[in-house]
Amino acid sequence: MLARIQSIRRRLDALRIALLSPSSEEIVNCLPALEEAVPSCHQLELELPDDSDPLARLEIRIALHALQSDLQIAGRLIEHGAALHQGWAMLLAAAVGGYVATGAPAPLTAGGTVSLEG
Amino acid sequence: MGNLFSALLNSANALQVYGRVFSTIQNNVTNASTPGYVKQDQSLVAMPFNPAVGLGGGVQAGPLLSMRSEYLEQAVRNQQQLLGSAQQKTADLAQVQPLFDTSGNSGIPNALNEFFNNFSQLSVSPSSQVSRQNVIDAAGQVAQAFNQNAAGIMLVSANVVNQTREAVTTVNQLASQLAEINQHFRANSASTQDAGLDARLHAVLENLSQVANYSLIRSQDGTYSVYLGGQTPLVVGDRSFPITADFSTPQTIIRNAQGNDITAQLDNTGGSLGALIEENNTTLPGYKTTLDTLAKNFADTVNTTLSQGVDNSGNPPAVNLFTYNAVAGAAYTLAVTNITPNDIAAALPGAPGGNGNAIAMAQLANAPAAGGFTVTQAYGNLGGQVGRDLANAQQDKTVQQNLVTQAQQLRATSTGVSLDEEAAKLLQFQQAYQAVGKLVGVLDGLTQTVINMVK
Repeated sequence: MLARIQSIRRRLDALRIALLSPSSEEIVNCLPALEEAVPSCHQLELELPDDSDPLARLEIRIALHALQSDLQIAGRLIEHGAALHQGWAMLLAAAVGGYVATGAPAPLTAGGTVSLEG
Repeated sequence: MGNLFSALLNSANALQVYGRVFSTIQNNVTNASTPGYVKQDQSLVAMPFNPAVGLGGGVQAGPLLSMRSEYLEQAVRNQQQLLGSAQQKTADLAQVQPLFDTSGNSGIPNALNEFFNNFSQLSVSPSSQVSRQNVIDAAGQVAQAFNQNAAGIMLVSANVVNQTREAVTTVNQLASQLAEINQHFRANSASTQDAGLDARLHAVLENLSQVANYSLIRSQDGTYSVYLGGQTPLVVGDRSFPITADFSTPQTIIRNAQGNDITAQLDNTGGSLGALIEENNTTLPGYKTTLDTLAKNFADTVNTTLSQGVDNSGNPPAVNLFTYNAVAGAAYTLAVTNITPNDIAAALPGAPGGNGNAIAMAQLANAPAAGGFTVTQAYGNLGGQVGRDLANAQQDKTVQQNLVTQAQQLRATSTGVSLDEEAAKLLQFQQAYQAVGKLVGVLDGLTQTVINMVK
């Protein structure tokens, strides 16, 4: 069970590093590992040591609190990064498209091209 | 010939312009590690070209463009403020936590344990002078343990006061630097394009954000004004308005240049100064008050219980075991009186020479003393509170270090390239954050469920 928790923590640490870097590709690359972590986390409920082993339960509790701390850091990085980019997007949209009647910046759109091969 | 001359002039001019481009690139490379420096871009402007009317075209140097994004700069400063506060709290609480050993092997818990054990021993041989003296010695150990604990908190408080003075000095020094930079902007509007001056300015602003919470306003003349706590002018134009720290009372008071109290604008609002104010005005006094209450309750309970017994002569005790000065702090001043072994009221009034009161004293170890908790449990609760406060500060510091790094990385890669590229990048980020945010939320819920099962 401890090994499973450590594995989830490693995946979260990879996400943390990706969230620090200004590249959306690195964040998206973490998705598969996180998706695998969800059923792994479900499995933790089935592997809990019973009450006769208080030391093992204490170790598990400490590891779970460390995992919770990692989740908090990842969560804050996601919130902060999302808020920064949202604000940036609003500034960019206002700079490019001005404001709509309600006073909100115009929606941000990315220009693109369509190419066709015959 | 005219065309030839035009072409030659254009070429010479272009060479000059591109020379400036290369100088700009060289300057960017040279200053890659300069604090506060951001890349500059030499813009190029096509000159009018219309041979029919003699306009030969060519290229000229446009304004030097800074790649600085004030939005991202503010984002970094916001996180630096929170990091400054978290770092300060972690460092100071780390000095407090060792004072509270709740293991029972040392400090107050150990002394209390020995104290009650000695009364147990006294109950076995209530007339033993050795046992009676041991009780007095153990009482002295308890008093000393409380004194040391209180003195430790006072020492941390003294450190906090010194660091507050240093933080105020730092704020005033940075304010002076900013005012001096503003003088350059006012004296020569072209200096607002000076990359070096701009780097100095933003380095000063970032350093200031680690110390104090402030708002920033840029004026039309290019100068930056700083308002502490969003209200108190610290720098306006080319003038700075120093603040002072007043320690004439036990509480920290910060005063503006007019001598008005602006403490509330800074208390726990960010930066190391905000943390220091909160520690000296709220956190440490809170610990001290709880410790004083504990010491007072313990001493009063012991004295009251002893007063209900009789001494070795069968008389009510003429002197208490403990004394303290509530005004100066019960924990810091707790002391054993000049009580003698024969004064210890080990017996109950109806059974002189017995051990009834010694037993009652020993049982105080398990009696509610504060809020329904025994004295040892109450002390453990206080130690636990200190431990939790430190753990929270450490976690905040770790989180904030990550957030500062994230904001700095984003700032570093802001290149001001085409708006279409920027828009596409931002939309990709939004989608990525949404995806990982959902998964982290699921993982968080599952982890909490398992934690609740393990408790």
